[in-house]
Amino acid sequence: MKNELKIIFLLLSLGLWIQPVAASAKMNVVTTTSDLAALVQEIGGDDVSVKGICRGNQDPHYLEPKPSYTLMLNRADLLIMVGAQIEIGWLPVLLTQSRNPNIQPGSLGHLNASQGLRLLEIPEGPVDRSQGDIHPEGNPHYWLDPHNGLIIAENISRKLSELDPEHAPSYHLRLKDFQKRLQKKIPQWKKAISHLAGKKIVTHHKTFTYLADWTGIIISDVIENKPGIPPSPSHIHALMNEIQRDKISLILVDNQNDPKPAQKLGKETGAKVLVLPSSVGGTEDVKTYLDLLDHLVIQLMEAL
Amino acid sequence: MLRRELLAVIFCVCFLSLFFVKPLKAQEQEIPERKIPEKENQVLLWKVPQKGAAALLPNISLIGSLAGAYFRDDPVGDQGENPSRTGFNFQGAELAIQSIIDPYVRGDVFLLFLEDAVELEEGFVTTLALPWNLQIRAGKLLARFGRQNTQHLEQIDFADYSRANRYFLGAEGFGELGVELSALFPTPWFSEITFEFLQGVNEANFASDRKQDFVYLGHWKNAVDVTSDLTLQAGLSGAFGYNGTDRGNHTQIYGTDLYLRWRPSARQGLKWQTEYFLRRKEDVGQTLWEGGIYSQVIYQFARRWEAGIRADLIRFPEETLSQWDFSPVLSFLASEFFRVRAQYNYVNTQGTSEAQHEAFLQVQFSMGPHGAHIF
Repeated sequence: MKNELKIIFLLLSLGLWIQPVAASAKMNVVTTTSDLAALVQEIGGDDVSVKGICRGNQDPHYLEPKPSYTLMLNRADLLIMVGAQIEIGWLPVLLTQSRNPNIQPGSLGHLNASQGLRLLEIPEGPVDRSQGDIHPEGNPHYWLDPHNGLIIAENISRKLSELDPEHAPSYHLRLKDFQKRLQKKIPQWKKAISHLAGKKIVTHHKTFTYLADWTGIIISDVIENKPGIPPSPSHIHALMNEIQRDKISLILVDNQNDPKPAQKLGKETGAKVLVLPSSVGGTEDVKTYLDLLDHLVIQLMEAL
Repeated sequence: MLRRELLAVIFCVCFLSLFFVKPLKAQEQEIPERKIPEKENQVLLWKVPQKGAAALLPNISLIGSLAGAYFRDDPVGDQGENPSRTGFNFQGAELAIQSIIDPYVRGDVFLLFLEDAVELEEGFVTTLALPWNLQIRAGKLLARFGRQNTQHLEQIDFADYSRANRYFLGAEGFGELGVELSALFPTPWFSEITFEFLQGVNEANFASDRKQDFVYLGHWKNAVDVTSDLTLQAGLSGAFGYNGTDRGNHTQIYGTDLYLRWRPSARQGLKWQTEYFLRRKEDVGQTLWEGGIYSQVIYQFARRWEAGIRADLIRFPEETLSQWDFSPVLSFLASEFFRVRAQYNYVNTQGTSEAQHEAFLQVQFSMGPHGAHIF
């Protein structure tokens, strides 16, 4: 009995010793993707330290919950996620393991960047996996529409200001500056590829739905018609006919996916295959959000 | 005596940490008005399409495993989820019910439906908001001993558990009722220490009938990203308890595990996993030492194809008697939710004249939003 009391006393004193480690001056932000990290960098500047989990050339659907990611979450003050179930295969287990109550869903340090966005391709009617690995909340690749970029930036700015009111004026200034730059770019981009509006193309995965939506390009069909499941030979055959019939001259593949089926289709039909990054960091020269859209527009402009 | 103190320490830490749970500020439900940039037909849809009470249901999912098997000689005794006879085998259907319970804990229950029985495979609550990087799990747990023991059938890349794991931790695995306390160290790499305090009724090792005889387990897990595509994980485990052969007889098991994961893309990857077991068992009038190792390599050579091989070696306490086997495997992962697997086992036991041959064709399917498993 005496021993037990001793131990309890020891533990109590130990508890007093272990003070929470003094938080570093900068807010520690972790985002699930490189695109969100780039946007946080725009708004947070030098006032935050930001790390993205999924690199630009990795597919955010199929990440593995590595222990190093658990550590990142463990030390985060704010977690920003894409949402719409793109991270469902790996984020929940990391959140549980993180032991960080501040970033759990529903906590202040947890932000779903898709707040207030109009998501496309929300499945209607009954949903089951005969349709592949579909997202019941809609297509999650929404950052490829710069209009959405404006809202995501605003969501980020509001959250940063809420958690770090001291720097709120700087966040606001950077937000306004970023939105101004982006808004100036949008008409320029639209003009540069105005000749593509109304044109039909084929894409590999439903990655470029939002890009097509704001540029007016029509995605006539997708190679991977059931998300996450390789296309059947009969679908490829039907696509081939479709490409020839509608004189479709461009096939887009994001660089996280296997370009082979697209290349084969291109070879058979003469359509041009364009492999494009869908995220910041997807290729070497794409370092910011504006770089990404610039890159996509220039590539599209030159392709058609 | 030392054990009792350890127990007291664990209990105290668990209990004390509860006082430090920070009340969480819930996110404000009301979203302030905002300007939305010009865009036609803008509709606010962020309020998730999931409606009403359905949004609060726990995640329910089921993973089923079936196997056609051939054995030269059918195995004797309970084989757990492993194929157990020539012909058709229902390896099990694992029903998972998972949910965040409140801001402080989440619950995970895995019910295992076997051909003629239902078992609680795991069922525990996990804390989410303890201070000092602590976490408690309480309930029925697959003990954190090594790597394969904590993995469910659908995670192990083979149609059956390794023979070494089965021999040292039991065909059904080492799963007990108990409490677990784990801590994440503030090191630059991932370093986690786990203590478990379990009911000692595991038939392979611990079977004391005295009510004060519990099993104590410790596990230390370290992981480091060598490059962004290469992760190395290493662990040490030890479990201690009474075995019931006679009053005061102990069993001690030690283990070390190594896991190497290379994954340059979603279409290519390599997993190399090795575990070593060492057991000291005090029996009536003698002390037995046994050792065993298994090592397995799985190579993913296409988006949906994996091939691999596993080798086991077990050295029994009887002088120079040992058993080794090797098992090639080929898996076709049709989608994330369905796979077909072919496996062959060659088992050679010293002292028996003929080798054992086993072959499996396994089908695994997954229904519902089954969450990810730990790395």
